Amino acid sequence: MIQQSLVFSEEFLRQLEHLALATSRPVAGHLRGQHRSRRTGSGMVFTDYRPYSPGDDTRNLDWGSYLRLDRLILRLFEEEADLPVYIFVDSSRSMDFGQPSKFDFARRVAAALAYIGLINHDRVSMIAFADGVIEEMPARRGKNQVWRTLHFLDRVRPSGRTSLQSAFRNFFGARRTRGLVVLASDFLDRAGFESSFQVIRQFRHDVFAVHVISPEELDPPFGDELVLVDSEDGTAREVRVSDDLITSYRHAFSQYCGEIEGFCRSHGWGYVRAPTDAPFEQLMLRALREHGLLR
Amino acid sequence: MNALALLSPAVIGVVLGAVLLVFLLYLLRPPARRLLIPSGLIWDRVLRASRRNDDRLRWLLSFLLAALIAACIAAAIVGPSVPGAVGTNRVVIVLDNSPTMATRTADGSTRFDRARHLAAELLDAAAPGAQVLLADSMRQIAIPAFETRDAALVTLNRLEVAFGQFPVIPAPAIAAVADARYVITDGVQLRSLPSGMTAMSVFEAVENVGITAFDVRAVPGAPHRYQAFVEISNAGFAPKAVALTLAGIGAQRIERILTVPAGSASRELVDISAFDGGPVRASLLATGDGFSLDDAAYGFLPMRRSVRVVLVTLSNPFLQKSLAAQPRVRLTVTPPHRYTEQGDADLYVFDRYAPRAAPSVPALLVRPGRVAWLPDLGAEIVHPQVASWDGSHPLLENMSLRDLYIEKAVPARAQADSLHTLVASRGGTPLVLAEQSGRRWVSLAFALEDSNFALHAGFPVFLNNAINWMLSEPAVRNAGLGEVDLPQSTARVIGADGVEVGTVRIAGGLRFHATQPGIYTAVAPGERTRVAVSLLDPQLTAVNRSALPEASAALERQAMRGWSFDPWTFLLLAALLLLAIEWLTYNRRLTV
Repeated sequence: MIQQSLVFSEEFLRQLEHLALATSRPVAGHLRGQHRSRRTGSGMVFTDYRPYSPGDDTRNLDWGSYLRLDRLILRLFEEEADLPVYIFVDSSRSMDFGQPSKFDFARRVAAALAYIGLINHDRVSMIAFADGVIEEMPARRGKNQVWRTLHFLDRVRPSGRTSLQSAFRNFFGARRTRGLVVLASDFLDRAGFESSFQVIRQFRHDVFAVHVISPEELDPPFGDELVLVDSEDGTAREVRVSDDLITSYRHAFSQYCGEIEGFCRSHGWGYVRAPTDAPFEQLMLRALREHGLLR
Repeated sequence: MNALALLSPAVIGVVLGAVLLVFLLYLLRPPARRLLIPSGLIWDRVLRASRRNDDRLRWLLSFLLAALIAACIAAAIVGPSVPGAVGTNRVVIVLDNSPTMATRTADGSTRFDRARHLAAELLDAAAPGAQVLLADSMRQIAIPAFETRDAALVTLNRLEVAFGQFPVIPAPAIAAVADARYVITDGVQLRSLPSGMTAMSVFEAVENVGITAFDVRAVPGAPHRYQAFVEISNAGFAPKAVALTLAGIGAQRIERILTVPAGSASRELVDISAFDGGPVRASLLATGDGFSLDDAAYGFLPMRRSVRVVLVTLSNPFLQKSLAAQPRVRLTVTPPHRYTEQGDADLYVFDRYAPRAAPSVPALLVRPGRVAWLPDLGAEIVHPQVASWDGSHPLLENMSLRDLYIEKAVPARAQADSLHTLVASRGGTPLVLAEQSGRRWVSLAFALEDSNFALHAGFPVFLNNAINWMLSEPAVRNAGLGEVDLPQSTARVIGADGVEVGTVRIAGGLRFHATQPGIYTAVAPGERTRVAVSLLDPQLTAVNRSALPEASAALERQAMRGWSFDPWTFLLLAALLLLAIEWLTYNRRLTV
């Protein structure tokens, strides 16, 4: 039985079916799809001419040029390929926080994006990670793979510390076709996010970061004297929560988010901040389209 | 319960106990609430930047504040005293009880009542173990000394307004080692205070009109006519209509309505020739008068009865004219060889002659001869020098014999105890003798021709004194309010209200205390002395001439607040202040 959080309404699914994942670069898919690729072949969009060689598909000969020039010239077309989509879902313990939890929210985002990818015949891979790849769903294609994808997400449970770098190194250590990498995470990695992002960057993937934020993180509880316990490593720190401290925290949090967004923007990556208390449909149907992940 | 000194072991123990209790409470504080957060990443960044104050220092600051608060409250509950602080150990209170303190204020009480009330409040506000030196400006408290608060309260209730001396701050009050010194005064007579003394004013301006001079005297050139001189001063701030009444011993009564300008005096001469001899009372009535002691003055009109005097002399114009000039003397002159005792004579004056038998009436003898009823005469002495005279005796009242020159004298040998030597030469040789018991006589050892006595201005006074004394007519004295000294060593003093006044024996007489204006009578065996007591002091009538500002309730309360600021109040205020600081630091997260 799929969790309720992963079940979408029919109307929402119909709206998702009008969307498609977008990438700014030509894809390198091996199968035919709906995305522009670097290869030329039997596409619809003319790209160039070249002299005919024996073995070429004679359907692409430009007969008009042959009549005028008495030479066989072949018309070349862009080949449309499928898009490899790698959806990373942060399943560290820090994601199991808030109401609704950041993990549930990230799973919903992943499920919706996977649905869009599958119905558009993209190859969708799903990776649950914490301090490494916890579980990976191999690339799937086609609408009939939706249930398997949902079952994968349903199985994943939050655990472990966040280590983006370990996860990316584990996953991209194997040869992966260049494609679209979607990161649904809170990016609360003690090792920092920059070195981790550099790992993805060297593989020249198109990256889109969905920064999942809980309202409780934006407005921490105001109390007297508190012992704050890190959910990932259990470390405790004693603080007296004051107005000044809250202000400093908000400033630091905003600065941290800004650093992530700045990194993404500076490298041509997409970035969207996704508070868990915001309407999910609005995020999918409007925010992600505005930020270029969907079209 | 006696107050504990601030640094006494008991107080220190209580304070340390409170601090220890706070320390234990800090150790027993409930643990902080644990809160699970997604990650400490952001918090660590924040805390690294914001943790400028070390937690241990914050804890220590918090503990110190709480310990101080607890210590202040604990010390305040114990109620310690601070050596050297106001209102704790040794306090000097000087109460001004000079005559002007009897001035009535607007609420009907006197300035002295207010001062006493203020002093009582000061005593009430003093610490339980305080030592108080209570003194008064008129020295009613003979030897001021430190005593307990309750004892000082008893002493305070015994104090009254006093007269007769100039008010001063008693030396013990100035010299005493004390934490605070207060002088409660109206500032009229105590115009300057020693340094280190705090004045508490009870002065309140009032209207006052008073008699500042009163005298009954014969009209010059008309010895049978008498005038009363009255001076009325207005110490108020507006012209005052005054009803002046002169009343004699009989039904005689003269009334005058006067208007006395503010700050000045009116003088009146009133003919009182129609009055019978005896006391004369001048009184005035004015609305809103605040000081009553100067509203009446007393004088004495000499007795109007004529005295038949027989002068037995061959010839002595000095004596004859002087006697004839006495206002009520009817003089008869007869030579010695015609002398026979006459039945209607009141008094004889024998000049260089003495009858063989003593007359049945008093006699003044001038250089008498040797007769049996007089003391035996000694040898004649030449140029005797006056060495001493009894100025307190009624016979020599208002006289000076310093310039008396005598060529020769035949002094008597004073033997009887009843004989009193009025004037003596060196070696105690009597020059003037008086017989005081039985029939009175006065004997001069020298003839008037052999001395300059008859040329003295005091000679007619001597004759008048001698006539009055020998006829046992009461002597008249004028005195001010307060202590009055009389020459009689044994006498009863009857006050103006007929009640006997207490007396004390002093060297050369006795002393009584006149508290109200009036005629006082000293009754001694064979002698009565009238004492006309009046205030008659312009300095005292000027009750508004104060060196201090007018007292107000607010000022008095302020003074009381300054006095009653005990250490426990300070400690409690300090605790409140520390609580406010703790609240502030807690909300600023400077403390835990």
